[in-house]
Amino acid sequence: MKQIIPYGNADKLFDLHGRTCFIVGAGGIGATIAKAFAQKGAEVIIADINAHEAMQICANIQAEGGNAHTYTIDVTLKENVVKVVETVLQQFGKIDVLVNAVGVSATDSAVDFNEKAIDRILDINLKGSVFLNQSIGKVMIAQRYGKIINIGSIGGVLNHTTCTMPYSISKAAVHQLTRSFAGELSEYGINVNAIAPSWVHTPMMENRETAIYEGIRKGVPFGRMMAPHELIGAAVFLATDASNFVTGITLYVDGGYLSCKPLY
Amino acid sequence: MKYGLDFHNKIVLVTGAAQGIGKSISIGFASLGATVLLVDLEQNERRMVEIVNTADDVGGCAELFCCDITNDASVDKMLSDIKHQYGRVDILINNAGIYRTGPSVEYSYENWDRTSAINVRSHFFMSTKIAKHFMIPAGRGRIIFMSSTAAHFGVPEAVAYGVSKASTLQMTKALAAEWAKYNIHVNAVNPFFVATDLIAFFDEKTVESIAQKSPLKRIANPEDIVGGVLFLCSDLANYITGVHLDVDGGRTIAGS
Repeated sequence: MKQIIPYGNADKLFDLHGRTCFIVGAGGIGATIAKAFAQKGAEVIIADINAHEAMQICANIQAEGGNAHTYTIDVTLKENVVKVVETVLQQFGKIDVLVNAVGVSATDSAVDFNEKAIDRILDINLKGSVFLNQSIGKVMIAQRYGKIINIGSIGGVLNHTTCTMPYSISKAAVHQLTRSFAGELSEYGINVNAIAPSWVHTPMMENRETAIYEGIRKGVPFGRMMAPHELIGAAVFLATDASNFVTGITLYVDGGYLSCKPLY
Repeated sequence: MKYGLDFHNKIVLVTGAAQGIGKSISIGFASLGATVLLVDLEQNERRMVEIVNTADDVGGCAELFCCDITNDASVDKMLSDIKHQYGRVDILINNAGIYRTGPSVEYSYENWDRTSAINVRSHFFMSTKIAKHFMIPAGRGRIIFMSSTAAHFGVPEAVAYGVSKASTLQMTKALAAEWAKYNIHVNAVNPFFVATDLIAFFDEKTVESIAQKSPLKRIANPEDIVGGVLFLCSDLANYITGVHLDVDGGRTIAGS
């Protein structure tokens, strides 16, 4: 049996210095993670279809002394994803971490949901995620190293929110593609995991009805919605050596929501 | 916000601390500044003394408590001592465990009861006592159950163990729901097959074939488990409770 050497410098486990992190989706979650990773000493590359938004976040990070760059990407077009990833690789020489935080939603009843709206959501959330995992996965196979983090959702596990059928389907798919890629890429020392948040207090939530807040107060053990920054720790864990033996999982960051059902 | 890990001024109690995963967890916490209370049987005292020395070397500190956690009076005595000496316990790692296998038709009452007493009953009452006397009054706390991927799927000839680990997953969820209002986080960590004395009776060929079935193509070392435990006990996991974290090299999500 292998000699067991106890771990005596655990702070190194969570270190991100010098890691090149490619973060796709500059909305609430992606932006929050990008800022935190930069603060922890990572080189951050933010890609979004909305160049303006990405550049603003990049400027914020640079103003605080962080290391950030931006690219415009359309994740629904495979050739575009491949091209952007190639360019990033040329410029930075490696991609250690992918954070796939792409995601759009729309609301309607499941029986009436418009076909074009369904296509758009699945094209971005599902196929976009596949293209990113494929392209970055290839880079990481060549490197024999990498960490992929896909942002899923509690909505992909149960009927968490009403009227978001295609979004929920796409997030369930994100959890499964995480398992598929994890299985295939594990032999190259690549970890692929998902984070499934429940309600995050992002601008997208601002205009939702107060019934949602009441439901959260009663239905979530912690009794409140999570702030965006409370998602960061899970990303740090899954991006660093702390999680080297973790792959294929979906990590729920949900204030205990999935673990219980209130009786009344 | 720092998004780092710092356990200075934290009192961490680890059961089954003398060896294997418990030992690595204890040293991991000590290296981040924690005061670690090592709990194990008296027969393991010498091993715990070594960990106390290592904890000192890596910048933390540890003290050992010889205690049979299945003996209620012995646990009460220890917790009373801890209360006098430290006044609190911030983090509890329910790690002690036994693994007794055998064909189910031959399995003895004694092995069933012993597995249940150590792996389930002792963890429940250790958690409730520490919650009651330390964490609820403090309005915060972190509890980890070291469960196992054996909680998810059937392992032939290890029924008692699997049942005990499924029980700790259920405890994790129920206690998380019950104690969220006190800001006590309760989570589980599920290792798969870890190179410790618990599995020392397997021959090398068997261990190798188990490793090959795992997507990461190796079994875990105790150190592989530490990161997940530290993460769930840190500020990085402030909105996480009631979850189980599989630290299993992908074994659970893989096909047969």
